[in-house]
Amino acid sequence: MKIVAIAKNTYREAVRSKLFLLLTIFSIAFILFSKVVSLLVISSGEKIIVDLGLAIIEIFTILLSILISVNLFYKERDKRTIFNILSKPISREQFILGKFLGLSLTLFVSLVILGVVFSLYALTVTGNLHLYIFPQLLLFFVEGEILVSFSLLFTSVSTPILSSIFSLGIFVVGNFSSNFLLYYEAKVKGVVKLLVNIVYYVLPNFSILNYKNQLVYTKGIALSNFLNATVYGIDYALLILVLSMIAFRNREIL
Amino acid sequence: MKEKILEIINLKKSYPSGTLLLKRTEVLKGININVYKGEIYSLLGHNGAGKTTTFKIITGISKQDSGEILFKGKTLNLKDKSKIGFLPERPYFYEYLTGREFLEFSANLFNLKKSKVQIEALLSLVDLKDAADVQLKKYSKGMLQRIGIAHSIINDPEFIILDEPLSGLDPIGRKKLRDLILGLKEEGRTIIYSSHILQDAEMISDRIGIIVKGKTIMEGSLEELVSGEIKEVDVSFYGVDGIPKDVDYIKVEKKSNVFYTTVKDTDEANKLIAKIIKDGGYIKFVNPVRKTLEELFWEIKDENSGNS
Repeated sequence: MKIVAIAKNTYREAVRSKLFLLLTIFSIAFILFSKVVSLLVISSGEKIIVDLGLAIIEIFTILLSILISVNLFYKERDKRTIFNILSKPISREQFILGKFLGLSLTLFVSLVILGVVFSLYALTVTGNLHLYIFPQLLLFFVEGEILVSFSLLFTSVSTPILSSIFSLGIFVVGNFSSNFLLYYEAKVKGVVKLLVNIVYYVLPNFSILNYKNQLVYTKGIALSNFLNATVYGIDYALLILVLSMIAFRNREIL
Repeated sequence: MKEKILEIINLKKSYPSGTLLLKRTEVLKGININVYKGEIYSLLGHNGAGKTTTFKIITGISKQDSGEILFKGKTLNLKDKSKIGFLPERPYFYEYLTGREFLEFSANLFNLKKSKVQIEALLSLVDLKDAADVQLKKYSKGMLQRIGIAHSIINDPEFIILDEPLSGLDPIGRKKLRDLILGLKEEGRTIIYSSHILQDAEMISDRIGIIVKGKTIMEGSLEELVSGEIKEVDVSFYGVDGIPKDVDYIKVEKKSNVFYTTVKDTDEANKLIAKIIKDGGYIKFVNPVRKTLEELFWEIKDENSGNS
């Protein structure tokens, strides 16, 4: 009940924030704008709308996951509302878990809203609901979970600006880690090759969560790929969450 | 013998400071506190003395470097916090929540399901029933303090910690809060509160602890700390021409043939009274002036200002 109370409160605070409102409004606006872009490009209009729609939703997911997580957690410490919680019979681990669940719920609800907005818009423009994008939205959610975990980890030990930069850096690096491995693995040997592999496996591999480029053609994601990616992503997010609990356990709150 | 609810033994705490946070700044250098069941204990000290840090350590927000905290004779643990209520300094609440939502949220943090009736009762106790559905960001300072008190007793605690509950309030607000605190004591709860407003401590406290620069300097009841010492004596008399010459007085005033004088101690007062009566005069009143808590506090602060 305590963790649920923290999660519910986190969700309430997130959806009432100006940042959330701005991100959502701009995302919806850009989705609606995709029709205009499709008229300017020599390609299938439908393809552009789906491509652009997914890209916008992914950007929204990244920004929401990082900025809202960092902002809310920092605000708790800055405004000292965290004192009200930590003075109760609640462990710091329960606090972090509650925050994570609240942010996850915010992310999930946002993605459902954007997915529905996109589908309805696509229906009016292309005559199709394009429901095949929803598994990708779920993978975006998993991507967001990883970023929420990292944001909580970094905010536990650092300032909000650095936390945002580090989290964004993780996203960028995570998207290129398989290319990094492909390029360097063949060129190096011995200890360096081992280090390259360690870096690859330690960093999150966001590319396996991303099928948006091929989705327009394949109109779906193979179930085995979807399940593998989901399990990988959730496990990774939970691992980072545990690390953030450990980091926050002894953090001095001034 | 009264049961000891809280015992703090030689509590020490330092924070990292300086370049690369390599140095450590000591903020608590030895806090010793004893709070007995059913009493109101005032923890007094100047700004930065270590009152809030002590409370943060008791409530688990911060951790001590060394020292012990015993709750009912045993080391304080996470479970004990369900019996403790806490009002932090400067109310830190979620501004977008209404008063009612905030109390419901607070109850959930204790795994308590408070009925609507129980929440209403709490809101009535702190005189906020009419503002229950108003967002906390619209509350005045006094209202925030009162909702804070309600939140600190939502779990029906035996022991309540209030960090500067009266600061920033006007005289009416302070009286309301003082009455609330006395009401909580009458319910059998034990309260420790911190303040730098000494008059409030004199009005409601059973026992007082004074800390200076992170160390407990003195602890005891008001009677033990100040009442024993008579600073000076006010004597009023009439029926004589004036104050006898060999009496050492601090000041004298005459109003409508009545003299009002202050002498430095009881010996001088006895000497004056004996002479007035011998000269055929009459004593209107004798009033020993005892040292106030404020005077004691300044004395202690000055004595310790040179210490590191």
